[in-house]
Amino acid sequence: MLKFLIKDVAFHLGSKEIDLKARYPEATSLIEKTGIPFVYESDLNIDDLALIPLRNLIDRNPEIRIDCLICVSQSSNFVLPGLSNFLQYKSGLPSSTFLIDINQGCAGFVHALTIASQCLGQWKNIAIICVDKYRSKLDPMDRSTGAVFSDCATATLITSDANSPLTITAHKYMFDGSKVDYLNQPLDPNGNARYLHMDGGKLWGYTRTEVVPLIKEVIKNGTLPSAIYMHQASKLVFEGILQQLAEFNLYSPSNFNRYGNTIASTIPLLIGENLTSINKQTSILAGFGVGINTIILKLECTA
Amino acid sequence: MMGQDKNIYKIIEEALGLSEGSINAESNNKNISEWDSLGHFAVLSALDNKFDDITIRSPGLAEASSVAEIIDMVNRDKK
Repeated sequence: MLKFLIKDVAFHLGSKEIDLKARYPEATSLIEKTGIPFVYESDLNIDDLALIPLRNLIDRNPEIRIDCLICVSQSSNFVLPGLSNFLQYKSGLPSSTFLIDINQGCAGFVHALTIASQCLGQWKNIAIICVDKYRSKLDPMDRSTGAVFSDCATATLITSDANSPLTITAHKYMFDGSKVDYLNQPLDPNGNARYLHMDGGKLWGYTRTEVVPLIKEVIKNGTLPSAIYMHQASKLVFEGILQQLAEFNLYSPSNFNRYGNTIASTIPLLIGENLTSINKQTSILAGFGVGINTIILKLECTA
Repeated sequence: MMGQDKNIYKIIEEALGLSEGSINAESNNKNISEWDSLGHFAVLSALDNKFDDITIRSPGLAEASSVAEIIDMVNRDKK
């Protein structure tokens, strides 16, 4: 199994801050329950939003030559080509950079890291971009989605050499297309995008009955982890899952209260704030969301 | 109205941020505007906290759209 280091994480949050208690004054009690007081919206094009953290990552690591770019997004100004082509060209990465586009939402970063870990024999330095503008997909009258999602981009640098500390030692995944009605954004017959649809009740049940058992399986497989970095859907989901994992006493950082639900960026944001410790300990990464897709990894420090 | 039903009314009212007495046997997600997708999330979370993870034993609660349905399922599946 190839070893790697999570070397750096850069991010950019939408610059327009929306105070949810001011936007939805009738729902202050519910906003306290979701634990998301503010959400953030970006007026930038999706590629310009993604370029900010990607350029920061390149500038902060001048000794690194990125040879593979994995782009996780469900937002684009173009039906084709993929967003990675725009990012490669605009960031100045050479045309020899291998490009991969992953059309995934909240499980997207863990999905991309799974692929990256398998590609490290071919490429030494891989950048994973997670970027979405879900706020542009929302029905302005739909409080349920309006009070949850934020626009954000993250860029995560994965490097590999003989001294790298991390290995994926266990993983479980579940991709279930029978549950597409839980969270989706359909097109009308003319190909125009409709609003994002979210079924909160079904998503709650899914996290309780399907995500948690999968996390427990990975926790119990081999070395016990000391931390879990899970997707930050909301305080309700975060605390609901943690209650069921209480027996494992895991360090469980959160960021929904500072950034909102930033889709695939929630986990890299957590990792960026815990970069030293994640490269020195055994951790669980738990991605889950649209699809319905669930990917749980155990990152083990073997250095 | 049984005491248990009254207790469920209170749980739903609190989850949706409604004042006491807002919920009755006829209430559903069409006549309570706060009972949207996110509100349902909050209701299920509150039921799990009160009734020992009841949504795991009673998955139909995820699709319940009325107070009457919730009361039936909770009374049937509570420990």
